[in-house]
Amino acid sequence: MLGQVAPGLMAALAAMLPAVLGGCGARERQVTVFTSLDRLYSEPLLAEFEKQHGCKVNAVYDIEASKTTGLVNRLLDEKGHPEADVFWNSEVGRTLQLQQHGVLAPCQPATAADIPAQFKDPQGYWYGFAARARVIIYNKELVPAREVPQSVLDLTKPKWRGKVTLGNPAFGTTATQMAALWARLGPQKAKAYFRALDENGVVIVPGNAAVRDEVARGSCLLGLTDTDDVWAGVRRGKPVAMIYPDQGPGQMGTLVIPNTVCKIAGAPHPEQADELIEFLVSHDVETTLAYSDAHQMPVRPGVAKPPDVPELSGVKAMDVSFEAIAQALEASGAYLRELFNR
Amino acid sequence: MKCYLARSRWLYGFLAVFVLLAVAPVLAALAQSVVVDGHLSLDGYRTALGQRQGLLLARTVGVGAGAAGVGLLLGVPLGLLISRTNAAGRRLWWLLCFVPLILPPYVMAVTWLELLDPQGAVNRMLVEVLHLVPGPLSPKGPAVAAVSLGLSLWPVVAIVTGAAARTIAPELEDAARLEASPWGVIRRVTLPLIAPAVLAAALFVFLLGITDLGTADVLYVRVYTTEVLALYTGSLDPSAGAAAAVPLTAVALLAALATYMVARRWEVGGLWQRDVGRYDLGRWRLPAGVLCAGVLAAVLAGPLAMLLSLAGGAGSYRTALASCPRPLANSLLYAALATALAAVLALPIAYMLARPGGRGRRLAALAAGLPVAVPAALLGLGFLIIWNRPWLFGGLEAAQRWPLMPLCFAALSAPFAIGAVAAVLAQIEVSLEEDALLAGASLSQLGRYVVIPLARRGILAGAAIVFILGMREWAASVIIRPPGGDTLAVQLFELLHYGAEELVAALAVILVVITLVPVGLMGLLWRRGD
Repeated sequence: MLGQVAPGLMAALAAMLPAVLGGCGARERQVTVFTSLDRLYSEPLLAEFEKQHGCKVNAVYDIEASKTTGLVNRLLDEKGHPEADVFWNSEVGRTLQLQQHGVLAPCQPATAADIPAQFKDPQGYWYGFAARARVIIYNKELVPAREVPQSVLDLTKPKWRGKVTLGNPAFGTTATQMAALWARLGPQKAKAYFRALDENGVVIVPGNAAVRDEVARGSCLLGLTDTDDVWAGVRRGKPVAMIYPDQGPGQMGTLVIPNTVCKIAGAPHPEQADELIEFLVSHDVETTLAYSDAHQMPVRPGVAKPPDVPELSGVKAMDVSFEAIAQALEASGAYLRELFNR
Repeated sequence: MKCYLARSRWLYGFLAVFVLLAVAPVLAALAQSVVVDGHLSLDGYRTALGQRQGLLLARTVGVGAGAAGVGLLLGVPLGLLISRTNAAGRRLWWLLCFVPLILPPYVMAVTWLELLDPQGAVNRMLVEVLHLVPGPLSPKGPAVAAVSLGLSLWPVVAIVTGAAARTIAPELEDAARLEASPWGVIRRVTLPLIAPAVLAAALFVFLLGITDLGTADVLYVRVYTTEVLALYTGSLDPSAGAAAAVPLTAVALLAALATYMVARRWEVGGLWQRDVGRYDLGRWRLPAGVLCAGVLAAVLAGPLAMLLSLAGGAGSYRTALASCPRPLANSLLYAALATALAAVLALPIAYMLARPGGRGRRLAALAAGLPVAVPAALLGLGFLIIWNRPWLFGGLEAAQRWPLMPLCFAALSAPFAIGAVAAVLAQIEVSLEEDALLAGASLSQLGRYVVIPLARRGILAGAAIVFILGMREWAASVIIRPPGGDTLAVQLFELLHYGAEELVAALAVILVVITLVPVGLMGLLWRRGD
């Protein structure tokens, strides 16, 4: 039997040889990074690193369907035999989860020395930079500014029934915000809030950009999204605006989420990983992200930024630790998946 | 009548490679649905198959059926008008029928998203003309997805309708004309004779509609394909994603089986013209041509104009080209390699399908049909399970695993190439091969000097299809892409969700133009075969 099929098998395999052998290439300086920051902002920075350091960057970007969660799951799956050298996360909760699972390795970039203590791990497992906030976005042509709810908890009011939109709460910074509420309010109150959102007809869309687009279209009047998505909409002339929720006395504050960067344990290219991390946590990168359409807030004072990017110290941040958020991610995620059939 | 080449051992070797490449990953991915942490378990099904399965199934089937309906509504009249009448400008309209097939369905969906925006051109026109406030049309929902897919895939029905109409035995219509008017002949003879082919084409559009991911993703419609991708990429356990694909695969296999059974009744089969004559429309020749032009303008001009309008001026294209050299190079490389591989595999397997006498004919038919009936993301998952082993591609450095991409592209689109070649081979008389053998040709000479030259047009058509599909492939790519291995389609999709409309539109135009160049070359080679 083998003799019957072997001639055809050999011919067909020969046709595949160019594809197979093409995988063998010359060794060159390279680094592999998984990043969940929007490609629009991360790709130019990685290209700049390539140019400055003569080091090829092999990037894997997230997809809207699963955002950070998809990349984190891949990193967990590859623990012990990682493809990635660096993980550049657009949020912080999943980074801490990776640290808890032993996926990260410490590093000490010189450019991170002046990052405030609350935005970096004391042992050097991760560093935060270029933050954004979870805000309430509204259609400014359909909702007068004085009527915009000032707290995320007000989105369950009957007035907004069927008019509030939210990104998939299982993924991305929406998941982070839900976990933060779980940690801040406690599981019982958080569940009651999530149920109230559901009963009030909250519209679930794939992600933060979709939230912005739904509100800009007027299909929904309000939504929860990130500041960079709102700024991108404003730059493109969309009729959207935002408020930083829960800023009043006695209120819980707005969730502020930094980008985080970390080195992967067992990275195939550890030295290049250190170089890339040193580059990413530099002042220049925070300035670039502040001046980009994303308008991300530098975590360090004294970093150059445009005047319309608020000082981080001027925003009342939600009084919940990143560690508590990381611990709440699984429980809140499981509840929300069941509630919204995810 | 025996067909000696069909019994050649070489053919089984090619079939074995195709099974390894395209069928084994599908089976591996489906098997993954019952494996959790290395143990047999139904947890994946418990996660994936929640309470709203009925709604998900109804939505998925509805999108596919709607696409097929639009395909029939547009494809049958246009196919008949262009292929069987002397409507003015029919050659140009025939060429334009292929344009929607080159435009990726998700690009078409992007344009409809903009056109049907509450502040978009269509709603503004309706508000101004009909005084409807607010604009009545919405870019959301399964209906829009169905229409968008239908507008992308209707040429399949038109092409098959035209091909079937030109292979009718002329004496049947001639006899009918003795008693009936031309319209009566069409109604009572032509349409019933081509009905199996048209129905098979509609079922095929349905199949493509339910397994499409891009359009549903762009239009935020939750169907099985989006569910599979979200569950696989968003969960540590891939069994949930695989489990979510099982209901869809079952529906798709039923549709594929129905297509096969209906197509078998199409006795006239094939793509080649007979001298069946054209209906003389007389004074209606020009109006018929205008009607064709109007329909094509409505379904093509609007989306294309929106795309070009979104892309803006030269600055957008410069920015787009500056952002995509590596993804563009990757796309061209993967698509070209996939085309070469698919062409090598398609001919021998198509020969087994088209020729009687071979023992592997049923197996070849089953193998060729299976990859079409599953979501591309599932095939990507299966590819990782089989090919990403440490002793295969998994043992290479991450950036060196890029050959997985063209292999996966070939697996996804080779069935279409097989179908194109088989359709051509079915028209070639077996007696030509027997004559060559009687003249003393060996089997390899028979293949090289008789079969391949005669099947040349089918090979070119198949190659064009594989290249087009490879350039726009997205769903499996996001699963298996190695670091640095993104394609233009993947980049386009990622930027789409960030709201970079100008850049997305410019990239889409670049994607279409780049795809057209090799396809145009293949078209020239096709014409040189006359």
